[in-house]
Amino acid sequence: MMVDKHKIPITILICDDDEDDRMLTQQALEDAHVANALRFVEDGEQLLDYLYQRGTFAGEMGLAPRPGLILLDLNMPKVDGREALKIMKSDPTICDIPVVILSTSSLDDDIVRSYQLGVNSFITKPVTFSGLVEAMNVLGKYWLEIVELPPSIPIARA
Amino acid sequence: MTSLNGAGSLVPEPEQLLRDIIDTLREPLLVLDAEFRVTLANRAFFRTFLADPADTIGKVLFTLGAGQWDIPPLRELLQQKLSVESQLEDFELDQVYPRIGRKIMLLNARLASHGNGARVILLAIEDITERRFADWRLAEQRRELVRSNEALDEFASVASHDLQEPLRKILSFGERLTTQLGTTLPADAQHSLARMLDAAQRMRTLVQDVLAYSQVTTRTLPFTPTDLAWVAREVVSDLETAIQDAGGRVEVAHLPVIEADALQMRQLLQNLLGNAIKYRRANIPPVVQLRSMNGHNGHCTLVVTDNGIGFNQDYAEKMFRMFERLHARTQYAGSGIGLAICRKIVERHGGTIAATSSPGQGATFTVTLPVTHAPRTAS
Repeated sequence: MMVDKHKIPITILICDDDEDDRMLTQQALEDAHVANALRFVEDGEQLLDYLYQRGTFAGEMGLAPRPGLILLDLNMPKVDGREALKIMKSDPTICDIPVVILSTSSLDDDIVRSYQLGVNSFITKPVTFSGLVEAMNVLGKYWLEIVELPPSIPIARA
Repeated sequence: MTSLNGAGSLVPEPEQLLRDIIDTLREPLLVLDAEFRVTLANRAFFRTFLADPADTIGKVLFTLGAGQWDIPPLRELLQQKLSVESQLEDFELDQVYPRIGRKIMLLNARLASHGNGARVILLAIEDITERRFADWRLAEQRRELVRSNEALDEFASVASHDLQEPLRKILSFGERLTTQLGTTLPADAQHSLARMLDAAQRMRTLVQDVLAYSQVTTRTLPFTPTDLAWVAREVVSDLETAIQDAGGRVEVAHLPVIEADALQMRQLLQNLLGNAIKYRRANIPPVVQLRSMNGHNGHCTLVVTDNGIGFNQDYAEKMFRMFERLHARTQYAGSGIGLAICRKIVERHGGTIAATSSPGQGATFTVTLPVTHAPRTAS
């Protein structure tokens, strides 16, 4: 299980507007034996609401535990992944949360722009389910066993 | 009117001869004096402008036809430019005439001097209205065609992108279903599931092929000097495994440097050489030759010959169409897009591609490409 510095299991926040893709990612994480708590949001606006605990996520902390890792889709309605990434990475209170783009896009423009905005990894959604399971497996292993994650710091309420 | 000359043949008086000659011309012609008075007008002039000789001869040009020739550019042309240059060619005049409507005329004027020193202006008027309108219609149709082709490519590109998504879901959920339930399902259900996923995979290939086809014109590089010999080496290296598996060889002769989209040249040679290896005869190692010939008019010709299964010449055109296949999918894999992409690439480069063969006799593909391209003017 992925844990942060203080060995508290981290929450993985998945931001994807496509219900099928949310389900596939969840199933792939399960099949890859990544047993962390998963939370889902459906567009960039919800993602920011979640992180800033406002809107439907206002209130108790339990509604929106600070994620230790964000899997972010790029093409979404309202606030898309690029805008959400830009806002997150320019806010010192949340810019330390690792963000991995998980998108169908493999366009050079998208990849370059995402890294310029400070994304931590860019994964083009594998075409096959077994490919997705493998990606989640490696992703889990990497963020759990290899990388040191930053300790959670409280998010300032906007 | 006529007289006997020294040789004994009948010829008209010089002046009558001149009148007859200018009357025979199909295009309107005017002779003006130094004050722009009409001294002579041919039949074509009266016919074209529905004018009457009595209202024309002796009148100043600019007063003719209720002033319909009183056009500032024409005044400038005759009164000023002609006195400097004495001969003016192809002056285009786009004008609405009260009697005959809008006409586009091409004027040729010449200042001549008579023996007595009097100056004469010859004004030939060519009605090019139909030609210009036809040119414009053609240009409009060409623009429309370009627009419609672009729209089609964009449609293909967008549609194939969007079609990939649901296919990915079908394949992903299907694959999961197979791993979760595969062995617990009855054999015939397993079989159905496998066939379903196989069909989805084929559709995925088709969708990707449509995308690749549309990208020939939507994802392009500018034409730059491209060493085809280098491109061919790269392609042969990419095909190395297939060549070795088939026990064959590819012989590449001297190839030129041409202005082209390097990536598309690679795609072109990849498809042609790949096909030549793929469509080999059973038990006969494929031998493929790629050579070039200097063509005419700044073109070069690339020739790919093989010793493969060949094809019936009746299908030589058909196989360049999208998704045309000459063989069962089970016999030779592929969706029938390769040669369609080749043709689209070659046509984008302003060239041609053709194939000749007969069954069992190997095939020859001939590509003709311009060596250089005129710099594109901004349009």
